[in-house]
Amino acid sequence: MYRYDEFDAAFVRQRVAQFRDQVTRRLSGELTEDEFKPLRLKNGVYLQLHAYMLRIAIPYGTMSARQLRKLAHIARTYDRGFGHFTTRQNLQFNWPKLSDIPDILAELAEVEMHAIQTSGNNVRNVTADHFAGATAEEVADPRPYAEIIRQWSSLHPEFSFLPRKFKIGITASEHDRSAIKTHDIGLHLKRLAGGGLGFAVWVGGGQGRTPYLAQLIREALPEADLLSYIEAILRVYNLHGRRDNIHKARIKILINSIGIEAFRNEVEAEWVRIKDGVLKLPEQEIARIEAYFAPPQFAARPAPAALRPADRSFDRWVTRNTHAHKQPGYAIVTITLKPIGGIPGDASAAQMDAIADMAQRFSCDEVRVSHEQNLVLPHVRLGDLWSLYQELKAIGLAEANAGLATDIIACPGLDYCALANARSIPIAQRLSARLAPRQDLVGDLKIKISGCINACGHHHVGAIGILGVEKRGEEHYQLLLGGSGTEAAALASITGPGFGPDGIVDAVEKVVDTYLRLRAGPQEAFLAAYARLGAEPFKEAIYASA
Amino acid sequence: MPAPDARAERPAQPSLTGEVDPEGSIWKEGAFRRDPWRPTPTGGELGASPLLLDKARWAAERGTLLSRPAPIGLALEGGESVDDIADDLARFALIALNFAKFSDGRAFSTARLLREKFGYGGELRAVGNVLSDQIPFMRRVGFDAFEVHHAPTRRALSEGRIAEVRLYYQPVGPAPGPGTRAWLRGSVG
Amino acid sequence: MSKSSGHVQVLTANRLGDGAVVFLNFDGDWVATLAGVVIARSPDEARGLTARGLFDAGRNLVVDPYLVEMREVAGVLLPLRQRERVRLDGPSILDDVPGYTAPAACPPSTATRATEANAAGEAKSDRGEALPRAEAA
Repeated sequence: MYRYDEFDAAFVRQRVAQFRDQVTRRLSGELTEDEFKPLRLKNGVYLQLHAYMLRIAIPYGTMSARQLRKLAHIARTYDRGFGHFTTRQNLQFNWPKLSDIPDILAELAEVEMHAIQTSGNNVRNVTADHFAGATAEEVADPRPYAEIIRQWSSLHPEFSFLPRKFKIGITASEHDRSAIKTHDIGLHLKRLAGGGLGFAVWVGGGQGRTPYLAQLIREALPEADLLSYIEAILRVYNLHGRRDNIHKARIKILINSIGIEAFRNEVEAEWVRIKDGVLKLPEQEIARIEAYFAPPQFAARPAPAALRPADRSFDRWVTRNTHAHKQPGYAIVTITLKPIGGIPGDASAAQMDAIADMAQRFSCDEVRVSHEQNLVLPHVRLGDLWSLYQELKAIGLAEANAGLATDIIACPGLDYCALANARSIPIAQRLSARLAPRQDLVGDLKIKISGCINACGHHHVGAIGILGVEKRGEEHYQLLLGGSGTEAAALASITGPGFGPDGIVDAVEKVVDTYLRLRAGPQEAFLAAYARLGAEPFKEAIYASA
Repeated sequence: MPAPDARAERPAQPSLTGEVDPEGSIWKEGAFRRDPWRPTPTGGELGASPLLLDKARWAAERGTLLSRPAPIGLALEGGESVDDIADDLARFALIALNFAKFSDGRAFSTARLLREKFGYGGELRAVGNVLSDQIPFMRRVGFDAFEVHHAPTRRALSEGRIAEVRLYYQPVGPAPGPGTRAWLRGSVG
Repeated sequence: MSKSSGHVQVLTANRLGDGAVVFLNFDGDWVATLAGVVIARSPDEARGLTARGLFDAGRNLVVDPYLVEMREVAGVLLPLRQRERVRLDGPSILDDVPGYTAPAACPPSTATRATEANAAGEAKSDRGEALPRAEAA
């Protein structure tokens, strides 16, 4: 993974000093809240329902054991002993004091971490496939490019006051685990026809009040042109994106209003001017960054998986939570932060420390965060799976539910977030408990819950999506079906009138019942059955009078 | 192919620098100064002072203005394009870009286009909501003068206290300062 | 501010330094409890509270002041909106979900120093109520 050199280390230290100065000026009153707010957002500091919230960047979701331990330490020392992993592969702390945050950032800087641009109208955390560098499916590891974009976009003087936030996602496999079509810019790394690596570039995806799937702007962009092309897109967006209405300010609105053709013409007119300039990426520099992501030293002859007689729960866990590794004798392990009835995406300081240890001993010192609020140990020897499973059981994180109905994605919702209209966590807890007994029977099913239209729970691309709204001061939930964030991206459709907090749990169960009743067999997964059957049978079941 | 280093041409008219004055509104060349520029009168004579005009007025009175010896300046809103007056840019000793709200970042792109695409070499001034935390970004994209009314920002400038991250990850504008990340510039051009 | 429904209003904000939820009380202090809170029972009183909120925000004591509409039931103030109920009571995490098993205590690791006093298990909101957080380990 990337390691800071002196330049990078000095950069984050200076940033900490700058923010410390800004906080001091805010606390003294020299800066008003209006003046301070955009500055604190650029350092990931929100004011939420109960307290400030600090969102820490985990670039493309990759961390070392040392970094995870530091997060545990911060949780213990400055917060309430836990953190929340987000749908952009970041980590949030819910209770920091503003006056402590400069110290927290200084501690993060010691382990090459920061909270730069995790909020604000700038380029946010560039997300990447959480199996990058480990799966055989990719043409190459996409993370070097994510790192290049991360550096180039950090405190970019031209693009720090965009009309709105800007999200970039990268995948390098045909099976898209990064949901690139829901991003402002989605990049698909691939081999170009003439040889060499390049990108299919997608633009204008985004969830929120008006969800859109991204459109293809360029089929084959050579890797050397990556930064200049992104700069051209951002420049057109910065100049022409709407600034009159916060709900109409994303690039997806601009593209939809002028059309992808017109947008492409604007971008490429500008790109032609700059493409052979100083932003052209020299091959040796791409190679230099790639070297940081070289695969670890895999064991020459790793022990095969030790067979344990009659341990069905271990077998289930291996089946559900491990994924094939490109290196024989290894596996990619998913640690779902979704204990049955638990809080999606949360981990206690003790759990973080334990997982850091596991990463060090079992996973070549690397751990990942997925946008589905789970953790991944990317390089685990098959012979170690049994020991790892025991250690995960000891900390309550061995549920064999990756991708199942209880692997729910939920935003913090009204329990924490000042923007929310309804709570999502208790809904997730109750759904998890309700569906757990049948989760293996049901199979793959992504349930995604957002507590407001900002869609941080990604409900538009859930096979079952739930959107919390406020109706006459009370919580109310809309049900959506049929969404997907993969390469076969689709936006979920609303079923009809919404439900109260009890009703929505019942409604989801009825959807699951209907699927089980009508599916062509266990081999027909939920999304396929929904595509075949259409929404009608599900709506009938949900809205049938009791 | 436009040169990446933008300040190739001398302006048709030299930029003006007002007298040093601690109460002056313009921060330029390390000091607060009086503003030598006047906004255009709404009607009648244009007079002989340096005049700051908007695009519409420039278009309407271009002929008259060109025959006047006094310096001409252009005042633009954040979102206004300069493509349609690209050929005239060198005639302006001053271009002032307005930040209607400090969150409106369009002028950062306009500034770069002026310097890097059109090679504008005159005074490029930030006006409107100019606050200390945006000034480092403004400098990097090519602003060299700032109209500042916000008292804490004025103090920070006078005392040399603008908090800034002096290391840059991206090549922007004219020849980079000592902190600019070397590898991103590569060996191109 | 409702003229006839019997609803009243209180002034709330977040404390600047630590973000804690606070209410304006009769002593003019911002405190993390509704005990002794100033209650506005008329539009004029509400306007006065609003002005006071802006004034104290200007003095950098608090951030984002606003009025919360409450019902008065047997002397107890209850927020009308679910949002305000959550804001008052703290996160509402369910610890009685059927099937939920609290994670077992984590074995000490070489990396963790000292005994693990689980801050999550002992966390309390500023109002002195225990957070209903089931997670241990």
